[in-house]
Amino acid sequence: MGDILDIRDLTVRYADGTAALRGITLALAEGTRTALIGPNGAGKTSLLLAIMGAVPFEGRIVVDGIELSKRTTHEVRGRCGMTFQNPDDQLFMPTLLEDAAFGPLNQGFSAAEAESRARAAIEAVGLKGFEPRPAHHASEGQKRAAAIATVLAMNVRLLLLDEPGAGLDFRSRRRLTDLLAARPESLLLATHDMDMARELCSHAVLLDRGAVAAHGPAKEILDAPKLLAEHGLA
Amino acid sequence: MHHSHLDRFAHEDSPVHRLDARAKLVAVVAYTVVAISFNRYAVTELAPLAVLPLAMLWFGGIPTRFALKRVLVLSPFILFVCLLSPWYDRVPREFAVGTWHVTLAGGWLTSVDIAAKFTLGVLALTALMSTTPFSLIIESARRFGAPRVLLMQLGFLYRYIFVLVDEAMRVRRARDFRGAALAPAGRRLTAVGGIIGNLFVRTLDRSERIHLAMTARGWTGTPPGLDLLRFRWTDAVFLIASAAYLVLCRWPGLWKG
Amino acid sequence: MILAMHMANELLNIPIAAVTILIAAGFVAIAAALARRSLTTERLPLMGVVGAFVFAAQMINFTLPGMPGTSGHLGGGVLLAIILGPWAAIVAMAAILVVQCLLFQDGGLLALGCNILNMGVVPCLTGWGLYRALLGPVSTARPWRQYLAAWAACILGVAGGAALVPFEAGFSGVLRVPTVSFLALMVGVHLIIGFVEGLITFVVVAYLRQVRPVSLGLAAADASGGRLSRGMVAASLLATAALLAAVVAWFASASPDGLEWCTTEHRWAGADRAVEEPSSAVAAVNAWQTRWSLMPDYSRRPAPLGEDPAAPASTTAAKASVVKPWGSLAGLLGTAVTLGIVWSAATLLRRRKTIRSS
Repeated sequence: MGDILDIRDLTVRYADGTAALRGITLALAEGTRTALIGPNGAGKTSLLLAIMGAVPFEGRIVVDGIELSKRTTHEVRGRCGMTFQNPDDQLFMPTLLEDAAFGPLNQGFSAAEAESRARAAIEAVGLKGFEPRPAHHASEGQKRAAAIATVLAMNVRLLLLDEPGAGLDFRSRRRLTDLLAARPESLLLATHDMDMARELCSHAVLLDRGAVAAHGPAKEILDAPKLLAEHGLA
Repeated sequence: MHHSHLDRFAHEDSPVHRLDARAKLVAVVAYTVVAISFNRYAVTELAPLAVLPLAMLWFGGIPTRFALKRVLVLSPFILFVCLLSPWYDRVPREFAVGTWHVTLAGGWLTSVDIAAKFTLGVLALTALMSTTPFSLIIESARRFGAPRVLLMQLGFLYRYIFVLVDEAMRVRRARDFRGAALAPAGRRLTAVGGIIGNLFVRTLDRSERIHLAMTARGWTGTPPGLDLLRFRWTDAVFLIASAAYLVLCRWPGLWKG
Repeated sequence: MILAMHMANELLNIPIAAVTILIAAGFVAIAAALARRSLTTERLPLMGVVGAFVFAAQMINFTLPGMPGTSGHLGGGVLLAIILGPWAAIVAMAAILVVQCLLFQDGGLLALGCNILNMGVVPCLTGWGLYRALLGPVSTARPWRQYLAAWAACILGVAGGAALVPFEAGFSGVLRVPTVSFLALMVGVHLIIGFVEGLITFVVVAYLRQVRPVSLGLAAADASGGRLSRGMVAASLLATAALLAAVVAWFASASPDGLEWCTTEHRWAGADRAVEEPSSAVAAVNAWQTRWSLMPDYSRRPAPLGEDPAAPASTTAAKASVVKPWGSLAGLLGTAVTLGIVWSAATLLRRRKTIRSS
């Protein structure tokens, strides 16, 4: 098929019954990087959580050829990795090494194998030497990179990143962009950072009020001031 | 001193840092037991016990000033107890070093003894925690068979203390910047309730997100563990030397015999 | 000023430390098993993160009216028990106390057992028990009843835990402060601390009642908005004052006389040895301690480990010599020399390393 992610008629409701996502249909080709943009409350985070199988949904989600259901949640989570808006919510183990090894250990790798995967991932995000350190000794930029390392260690094929560049200074943001540009994984990047989206992504999806407002090549969406203005983004 | 710098030396490198966490933990516990086992009038007998913690600090490259500062910061309660002691134990006791003899109320000797034991205990703990990352202490406890639920809580606790304390200090500052000191007690109390309650609600939400982040990486309920501890011959040497040293401190008579 | 009630190593002897550590370990093991059963995996990260919350909440101080420079803050045990249930709260408090001991060096290693009992097990169990007893059915609790229950639970939990400290110290025999006076002091001070903690806990409960009633086990948000009334605060203030006065009066009438305590102790044990020692209480405590300490004090035994039994430092008529003069001098000098050698070795080692790395 060549699609890493295939979503049909996806609807997600909050606990009180209001819809966060309404009938989303979306396909991402393998190996591409796609920006997910939209105003606050548009449903970006809900979409990412739905793909991870973390919220109940209606419709169909297929990740890397596997249809998401209760039975396959574990398998899907081995193929796509998500980082959260606040890295402090994601780095919950006492040290970076243990944090990066958490996923591989849950995937059933031996302690030694998990450790070597964790070390490789930490090196890949440029944090070599930080392995035995606790997350509270790291800077904000380092925490973002570490959060990404925790999912890279699981050898995922699709990265779902929620606002990875928010609040970073110019240099940290530059490093993060370069790091992501060099990764072979497919990427769905939820962001308000249009510059980062332009630089990294070939495609873009514009969400507003829980529905897809536009989907296409990045240029046509990110460089269309009128479209962005209509949805409160410019 | 900033709160997150309490263990700032734990991640450096030195011969002491490289020792197995289990060896250091066992040595420091044994050390504390020996220190406490001296009777309450022991004053000079405690002196040789200063060697082990100071040696760990020095060889570990930890500034002695840092450790002594910890002793001072923690001392108020114990100083209070020390001052109480002479009041209740006025039996005269002879205290002698060489040809120098003094007669003191027993309570004073107890005061000095308590203060000395306290100083030694804090020095030893500081030496342990400044040369050993907390995560390795948790790992050691796991190897010694501590319940996993508790160890997991320790891990989370260590991870989030600094995050939440920072959050709390920001809110407190925000409160104080808006002139809370001038408010009447009732309003201040309501503010405290609001701040702590708000912090708690955020904590509940955060723990939900953490749980989500954990399950997103395949967690099913069993805490995983890495294999990070290595017991080498240097650890054996350290343990044997510490044991011999502690025995000699406790029974100095063995020198002569 | 923050009054700490962390028990210190130095006030304990080995048997008491060992026994309290065993009891505390037993409680924590049971609590861990029960908490594991009552909490879903979803709530498992909660205990640790909530533990961190308690640290953070302790940063939020409340300056007491009329007492500048004195501020109260939350201890947390009772609040956790109210929200998480006693078992999860005990595990969370145990984790907190371990971290305070190791990372903050607050409370000694060997006193950890005592501290877990005094500040974890006792406040969580008694506080929770009283809270539930006063509250009645949880899901429909009236606000005033809930506040009152939370506040009373704090006072009982905090003062109850503190009341153990004098007994632990007393049985250890290190501190010569009579147990009764120490008890009066600890309970008195902690009634005040418990009062402030209760006040804070109840405003927190009031806030949660408004914002997140589910976390308190309530069925739905409180229609009345759950505001605290001024009368509530005044009534609780008066009640504590009365309680405090009653306790102080009771201890005063129970005569916290140090001398009397000594003589009772004397009759209780070791009276036959009273002749050689200036105070028989000293003898009693010493005999007890020598018998029980892991490694009995060498200078007190008749002929320890091949030393000269006729050493001149033995007891004279009225004074008990504490140390062997020459032995202690040698010990002090030896220690100084050893420390010098260790220090120079460490310095040399470090200097060589910096030279190599530069």
